[in-house]
Amino acid sequence: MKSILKKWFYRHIALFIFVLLLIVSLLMIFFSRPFYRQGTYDLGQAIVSLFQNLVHKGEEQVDSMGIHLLSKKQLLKENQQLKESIASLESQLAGYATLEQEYYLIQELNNQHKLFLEFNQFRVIPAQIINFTSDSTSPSFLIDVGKKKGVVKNAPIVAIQNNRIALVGKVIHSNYFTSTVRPLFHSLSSMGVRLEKGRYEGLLTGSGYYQKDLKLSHVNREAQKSIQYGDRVFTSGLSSLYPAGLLVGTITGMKKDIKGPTVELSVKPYITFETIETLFVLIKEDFKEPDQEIFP
Amino acid sequence: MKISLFFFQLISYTIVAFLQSIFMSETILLHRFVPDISFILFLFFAINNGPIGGTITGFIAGLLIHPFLLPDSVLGLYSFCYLFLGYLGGKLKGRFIVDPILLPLFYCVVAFLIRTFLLFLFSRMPDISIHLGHWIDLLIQAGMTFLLTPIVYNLCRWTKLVDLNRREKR
Repeated sequence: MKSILKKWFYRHIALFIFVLLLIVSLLMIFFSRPFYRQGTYDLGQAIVSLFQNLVHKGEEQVDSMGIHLLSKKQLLKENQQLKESIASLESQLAGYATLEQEYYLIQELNNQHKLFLEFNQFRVIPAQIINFTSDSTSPSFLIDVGKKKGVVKNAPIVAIQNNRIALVGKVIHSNYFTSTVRPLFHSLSSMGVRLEKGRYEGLLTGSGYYQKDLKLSHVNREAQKSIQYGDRVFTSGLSSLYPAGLLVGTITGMKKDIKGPTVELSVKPYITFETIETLFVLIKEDFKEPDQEIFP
Repeated sequence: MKISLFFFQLISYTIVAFLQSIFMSETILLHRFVPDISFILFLFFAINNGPIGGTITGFIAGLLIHPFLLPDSVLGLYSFCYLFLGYLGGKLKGRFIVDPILLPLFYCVVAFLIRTFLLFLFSRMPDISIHLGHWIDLLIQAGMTFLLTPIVYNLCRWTKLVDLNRREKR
């Protein structure tokens, strides 16, 4: 009987090993705790990020020497585009005459000034993107600053595009040299926001895909009287993670719920994620990293 | 399955995954669409190593890929998918005569579909934050991966990392 069992076992040993490893991997998936997951990730990422940073700096050196022909061509193209945009901006300024336009200009300047004041309460750390994840299951990107420069978990990330400061995302993990950024279109990303007109509040969540609009839910029904396509959405500052008044995106559509007291809006992020390069990490001086992860 | 060849395969796989995370994620052919060369390598190593070797190859490859290419993903997820593919691939060893182009391409297509399906199943579960992305993105990535499959397979064959036409002793 023993020999029969033994023979049967050796005949199907591949299947036994397969089932055993299957159980091990399932246990890892369902019972791995955040500190364990982060521990292995920390170790791997700390080793890899050193080399990634070196490679990125090496690439910058090559670009600056003008050896990389493609980037030189791109620089010339960008230079030409910038010159054209300067010319068009100059002609726009020359034609900028009506009272209504002046009013909105003053209002915008006032908002930017307030944001600039708000910005002054933060320590700003510039950063460059050194790696995008090539895996679409969990979009994120790596920046070249970490705990060494004072970056902490949950610090907001902003970028400047078209002369506006807009929200990009937040730091979800920081090691000594680099940090991982979760963009605001990530499916786990959520924040309290406020509409520009009417000042109604809502909850903005990511769609998981950078080309798909974000979802703004729990907005009061009354808001639909004042909402227009293209209205801007700013952070409300209620979560205390993001400063109030940071531009997030613009409204692109509305989904009406006939029965409910709220409406759902779609918001297009202001930042074009394909083209950003330089980011700014905002560190509030009295900000402390949370001890325990509530939402891993 | 030779132990030395197995370790050599693992080292090659680690180096390719590492290079893929550094160089290829910048720009290659199309911005942000990266051919998954590490997946192609793993598949042919798993087929070459037979059912037991393929299972172990898949499990270890799934663990090794985690720090390079999956910064915010669940540990064990790709181990599960890859060991499944490794076991199935290992079972195929010696059963067919593998030509240089069509059959490797066929294996890669089927394996990619199975992997996508398994990830899709996991994405439906609560508390597992993975998102497959738009189907066009997946299609472009798959196309680029399939185009490179015969080249990578023949390179592996030339460097004697794999020999899929060698029959396993029964």
